[in-house]
Amino acid sequence: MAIKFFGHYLLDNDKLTAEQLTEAVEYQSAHNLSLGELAVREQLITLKEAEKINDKQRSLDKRFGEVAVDLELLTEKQIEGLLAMQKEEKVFFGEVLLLKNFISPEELESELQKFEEQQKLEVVALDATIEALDKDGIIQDAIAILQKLYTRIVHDYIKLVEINKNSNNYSGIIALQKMRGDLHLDFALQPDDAEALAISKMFLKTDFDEVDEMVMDIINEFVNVVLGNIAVKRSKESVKLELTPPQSVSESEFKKEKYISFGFTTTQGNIALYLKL
Amino acid sequence: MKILIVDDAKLIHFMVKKILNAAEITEIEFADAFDGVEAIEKAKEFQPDLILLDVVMPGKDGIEALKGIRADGSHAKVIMVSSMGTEEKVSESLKLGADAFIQKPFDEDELCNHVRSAQ
Repeated sequence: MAIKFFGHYLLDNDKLTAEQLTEAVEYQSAHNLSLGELAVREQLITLKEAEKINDKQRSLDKRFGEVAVDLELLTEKQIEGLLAMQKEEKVFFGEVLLLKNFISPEELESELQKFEEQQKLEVVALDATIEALDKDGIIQDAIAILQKLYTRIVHDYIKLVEINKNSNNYSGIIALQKMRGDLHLDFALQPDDAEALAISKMFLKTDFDEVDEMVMDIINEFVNVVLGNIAVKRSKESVKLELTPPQSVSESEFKKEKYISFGFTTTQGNIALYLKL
Repeated sequence: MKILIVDDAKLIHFMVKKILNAAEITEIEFADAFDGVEAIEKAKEFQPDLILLDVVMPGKDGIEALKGIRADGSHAKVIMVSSMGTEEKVSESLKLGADAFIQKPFDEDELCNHVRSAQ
């Protein structure tokens, strides 16, 4: 895989041990509370109410605060107060590393610079590749809508890290769906097992221990939701489209070499997206 | 109240029941269909008050199923629940007698409100 987060970069470059990375991430997540967690801590809402707001957020393109106000569970003034509190309490990853003496201030600065340089180079390379392949802009739509819906449903960060590279490094179940009509697009997702379980957990609000038939159904449905939303966006331009039902495909049946592959990373795992125009 | 859920994904049947149960919408009798042909048969046999109908299904799709259900004289409230909420599909569904169209990923409250209003 290419670059992930700054913490993974440090780990890959032997600037941090796995134990230190875990400790720093745990410290950071215990201190950087979400707006909902803060509202519960401050006893402004109950845990059940926070879950209700989160659930609603899952299907709407709105922020936590907006949904809480819409549901009359919090006032705008309370949201402002919580946002100020969140900002004040926020700890950056680099600060945690310094606080715990995992790295010196000088080394942190120089590694951050190197990391940012690498990130910049990578983004430029990806954009150039996409533009050359994507005359109708459908690849751009597919990537943007996948990222948007992933964030909305799984509540996690997702980042495109590579194009047409290392697709054989990705393993796991594959869900494939096809768009036909005025535009042709074959759309397949291959989340690794950790990612498939994470998506399933958030989709159904139930814990899963293994990639079973239900998890495969959920990944198919996730693909259906993403491709459906791509179709909806395109249909506003008077384009006629049909979708085939999504299906699970085995690795041996799926010919990766016929697709343009995109590697994404999240905090849960990795996802490969395969597109054929 | 009787609800017929039509979707080729078993998951959606499970999800809808879970959502309605969590929202304490009870006293519902459910029937399940997994394609358009089965939907038309079940709509006739089961006489539901409400049908949740997916659009993209293998074989006979949701639009074809809707035509068949209405041709058989069912007056059930039909809500299309699909990721395929294109303008064309939505207007075609409404023209054929669907009562509403919910785009996936769906808002759970929207689903519950539709069910409550059909009760």
